[in-house]
Amino acid sequence: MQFEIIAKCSTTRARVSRMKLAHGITMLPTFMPVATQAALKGLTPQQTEELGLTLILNNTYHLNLRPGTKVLEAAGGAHRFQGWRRNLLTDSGGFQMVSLSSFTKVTEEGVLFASPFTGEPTMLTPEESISIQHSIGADIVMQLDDVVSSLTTGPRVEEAMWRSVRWLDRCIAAHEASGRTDKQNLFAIVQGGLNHELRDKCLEEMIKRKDRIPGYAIGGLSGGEEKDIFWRIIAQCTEKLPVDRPRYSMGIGFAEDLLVCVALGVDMADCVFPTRTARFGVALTFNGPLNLKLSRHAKNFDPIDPTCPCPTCSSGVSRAFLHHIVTHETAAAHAVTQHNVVFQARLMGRARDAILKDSFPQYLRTFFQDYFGDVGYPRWCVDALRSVGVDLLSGTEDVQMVEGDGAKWEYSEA
Amino acid sequence: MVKMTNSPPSSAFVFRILSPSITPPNFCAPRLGRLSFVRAADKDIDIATPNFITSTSRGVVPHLSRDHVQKTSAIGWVHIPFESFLASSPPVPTLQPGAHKLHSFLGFSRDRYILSLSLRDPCDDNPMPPNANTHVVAQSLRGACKVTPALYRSHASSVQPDIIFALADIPHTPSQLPSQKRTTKSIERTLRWLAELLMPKASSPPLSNIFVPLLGGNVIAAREAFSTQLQEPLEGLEAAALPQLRTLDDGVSGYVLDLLPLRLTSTTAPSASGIGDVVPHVQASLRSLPFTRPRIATAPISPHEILRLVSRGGIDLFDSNWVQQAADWGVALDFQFPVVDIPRRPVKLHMGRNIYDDQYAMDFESLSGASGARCPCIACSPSFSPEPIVHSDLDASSYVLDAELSTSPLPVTRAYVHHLLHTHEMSSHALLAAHNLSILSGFFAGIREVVGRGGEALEAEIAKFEERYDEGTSKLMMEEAKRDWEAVDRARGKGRLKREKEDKDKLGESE
Repeated sequence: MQFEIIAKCSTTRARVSRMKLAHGITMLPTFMPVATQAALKGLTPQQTEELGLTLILNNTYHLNLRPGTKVLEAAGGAHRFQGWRRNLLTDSGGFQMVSLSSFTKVTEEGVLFASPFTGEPTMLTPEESISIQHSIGADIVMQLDDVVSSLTTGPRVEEAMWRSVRWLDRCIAAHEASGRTDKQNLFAIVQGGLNHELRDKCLEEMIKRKDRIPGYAIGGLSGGEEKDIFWRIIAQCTEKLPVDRPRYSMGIGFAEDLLVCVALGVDMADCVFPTRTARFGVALTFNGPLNLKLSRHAKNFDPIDPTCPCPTCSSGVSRAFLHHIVTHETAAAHAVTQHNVVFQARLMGRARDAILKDSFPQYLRTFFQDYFGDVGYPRWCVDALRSVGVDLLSGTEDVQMVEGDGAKWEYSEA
Repeated sequence: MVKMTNSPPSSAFVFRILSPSITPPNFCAPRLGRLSFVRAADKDIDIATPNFITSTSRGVVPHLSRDHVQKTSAIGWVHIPFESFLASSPPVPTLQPGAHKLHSFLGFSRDRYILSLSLRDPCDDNPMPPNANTHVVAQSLRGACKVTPALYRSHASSVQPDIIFALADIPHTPSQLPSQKRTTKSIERTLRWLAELLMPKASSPPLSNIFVPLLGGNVIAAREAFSTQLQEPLEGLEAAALPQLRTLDDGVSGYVLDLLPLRLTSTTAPSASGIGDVVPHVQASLRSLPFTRPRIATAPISPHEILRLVSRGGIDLFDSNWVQQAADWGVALDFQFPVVDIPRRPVKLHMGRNIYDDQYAMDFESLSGASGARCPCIACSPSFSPEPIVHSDLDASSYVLDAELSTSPLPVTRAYVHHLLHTHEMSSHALLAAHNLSILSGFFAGIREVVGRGGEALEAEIAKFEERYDEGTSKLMMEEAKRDWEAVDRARGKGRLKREKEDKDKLGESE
């Protein structure tokens, strides 16, 4: 991996960088859509690339079940298997073991879970996870970590943190022994729950191993914790993580979350939200999400966003037509998925431009004005951005503040 | 050259029969034709016949996003059943601003696409409440609704399709032959409703480019009677209301032969393949009618049936519903006409592959057979756009790929589609739908080539085709694929969690 910082925001911790991997260059900060089963739901790899995407995510847990490593190896890896010629990242599979399997037990050896095929106890060790990720062949691979819900408290959080550090060492050893370090880059995952002390210890341990780690992820968040705690953990991690390594915040996808994370110094994020919400008929815009199922869109012949370059908006598909087909026709899911993925890419592309021109604080203010001006700014966003020197409220009058997560949604007028 | 022109000029089309060059004594001879639709500024659209009409659901070609529709050159003429728009009143397409509302609402450029319109979906075999003298019962998303000829006329003239199918009173009584009385009534109603569409009215001009469904069901005599009555001189009130027409047939531009009602109430013994022969019924309808008008058959179910109807029914156009249905069920079609000679094989081939089958898990061939010509679809001939969307001023460098990575993409493999099908991924059906439409397009190109040869060529090639591709086992393969699709849909599709819970509860009860 070649990682080069091109520009830094003079106010916040945001930076623009160029990450060169075995399958081309990806400009950061970027959002990575999730192609769980080797396809961005509904789209072909050609369509995905046409949207301007250069880095997507596959899930190890799912690909290991289907098609399985035997097929992937016969195909020559996941890139060839799915016809994707750009960069690819795989997770470790650990998160799905815990979230999808009916019973899971974590031991020092690995994660013990029920095989979805036979129901028999099956062990996923750090070495096994890395080996599966080698069969997949992604450009960025993740360490197996001991995942606990972000709402967990008590000694289990500390145990999981230390175990994640030990498993990192095992992953590094397995990865280096494979001789694939030139093609595949192993990222560490910082754990420690919502506890600042544990996060500090984890950061300290993992930063010690920096020479053998091309990038860092921040894990264990986006699990329903309070946003006010979420951003403080992100801020703590980005402050300590080495400047010359890409930072990946796992499971982040709402527009406001992404921009706050970028301001705090995050380079990469992934989430199923934009693609999943598309299938339910929700289109993302710079003025907030549109729920196309609502009858208020039934007679609106405008596109989702007339300025959007996505295939859906640029070919003039109207909200009325989408209203007619969403959740009934798969083609509606494809159309809104294409749009939402492009929205995320525009959001991040504009951030890159703003950082380069050193106008990122202004970009943040414009975004929040357009997106939340009518419903009120989430207080946690205002607080988080203040911590890096941006006052969203300066120059605006009568801005309402919203407590809680403050996420925006289009409701029916019931 | 036989020629027929329709009016008014704004939406005119011309149908020319290119071969045979003189009207043959045999009304149902295979023919080669061309439908030319007049468009502005020398952009006329020509449809060479025999050919196919792409079927839609709720106004979309199932599974294909707009960019995929545009990349599928096979799609040229698209059929739209209007009933899905009846859930709101007035129907939303009628509110679309500007002219040619149906084209613009659905996103089919008039420069490239022909749109035909019917009230009902000719491939929908769900039982329906009975029609009445004054209305047809159609299926909207909010349930059954009544549509009068006046309402249909108003909607059709508002949205301006290129071709309009007249209303048909088809008795939907599955597996039961309608009585003679019901059959007579269906003929009377259909003719009366046709007259209503053709009458000049102060409120709207009479509809043009009307294709009339040829009624009569499974009764040969009734089918003949319908066609005869269509051509009888108008009398009484109808004559007065339609001064511009001598017969109803004079107001009609083409004929529709609905095969589905024939199959639902079939009295003919099914052939060895399990598919009844509908050719006699088609012939009964067409015998007395002018040879020069285009003929559309709806809801065919196999390439074999299409070949029979081209060669012995003189049919010009067929809908593509069956190949799209095959894509829904995970079948990648793979057949060619005329058959290309390849080394003798011990067994007959199927007309496609059930990609759900485990034999494709490690099969890295393309969807079309290695022997066949390269299929032009998005799956077999994928291409990357040289200009992806750029999201920032910095991105230019990230779109430059090393030579090693920028080689032309390989065809989508059966193994990948097998994986997508078993993981319930929607792109499997997008790839299969585009592929199957392309295979169908190639099939019709082959038919035109062979019909153009004239003489006995068509019959000889059909015999070779039937020798190569087994109609009966192909049907079984499709049925097996459908079962596989249902199993995966049950395990992974909508309502999965609820079903899992129910199964668990059931298990709990029995323990």
